[in-house]
Amino acid sequence: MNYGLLMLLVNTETIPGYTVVEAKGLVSGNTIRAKHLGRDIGAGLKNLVGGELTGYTELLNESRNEATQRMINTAMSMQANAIVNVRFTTSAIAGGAAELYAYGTAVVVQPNQ
Amino acid sequence: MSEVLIGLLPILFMAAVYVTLSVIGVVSEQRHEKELDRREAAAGHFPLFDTKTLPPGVSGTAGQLISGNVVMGTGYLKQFLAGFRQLVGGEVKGYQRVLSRARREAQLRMVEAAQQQGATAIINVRFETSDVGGMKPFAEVMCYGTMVR
Repeated sequence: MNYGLLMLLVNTETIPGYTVVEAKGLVSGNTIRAKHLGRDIGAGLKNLVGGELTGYTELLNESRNEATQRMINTAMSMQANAIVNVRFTTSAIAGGAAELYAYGTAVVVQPNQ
Repeated sequence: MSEVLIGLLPILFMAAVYVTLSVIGVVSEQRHEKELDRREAAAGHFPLFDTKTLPPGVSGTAGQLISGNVVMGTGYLKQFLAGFRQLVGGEVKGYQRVLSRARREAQLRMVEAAQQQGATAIINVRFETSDVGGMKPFAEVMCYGTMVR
C-alpha cells in the first residue's frame, strides 16, 4: 500500500533526513464499512475451508486507505506537509461492520541541509 | 431398512461435504506455508526494526509509511477441533498456525511492497490483529512501519 506522495506519513516521532519545524496538532480520519451480502456469503463459504479471505483483505485495505485519505485531507487544510506518529486501530462495532481509524500528528517538516 | 438409509442420506452428504472441505483446507494450508517459505527466501534478509530510530550502522533518509494486511479464516475443521480443545483447555494449535501464517503473510506483503519502492530498511514495525468477523472466527493482521531509503 502506498500513501500519497504529497504528504509524508511516518509512524515514528521523527523523520530520518528531515527536521520538524512546527507542530499543527492531532489529525484523524475514520470510516465504517459493511460488507455486502454477496461478499459475506462468499466469505462464509470460504471460511469452511479456511485460508485467506481475499474479498475481506481488499475491503479492509480500501477502507483503511479511505480513513488515511481523510486524515491527509485534514492535515492539508492545516497547511501541514507531513504526519508523524501515525497509528491505526480497527474495531468490529457490530457483526458485519468494521471501523477503521487512522490518527497522527500533523507537522511541518524541512529537509536537512 | 432402506427408509433408514434414505433418512441418513442428508447427514452422510453433509458429512462428506465437510470432510472434503477440511481436506482441501489442510492441503491449502500446507501449500500456503511452502509458498511463504519460498517468498521469504526470495525477499532475503531485509532489515526490520521495531525501534523508532535507525540502529547504528544502518543509514537511510526520507521515511514513508508502508503496510501489508491479510484477512485469514480458520476453516470448519479447526473450529470443530478448537471446540473440543476449549473443553479441556490448553493451546489451540490449529488457530496458532493460522495466526502465524497471517502474520508472516502480512509482514511479507509489507516487505515486498517496500522492496519494490527501493527501501533499504523498515523501522518502527508494528503488528495489529483485529477480530473483524464478528461471530465468525476471522482475523485481520496488519503490519506497518516506516520505510527508509
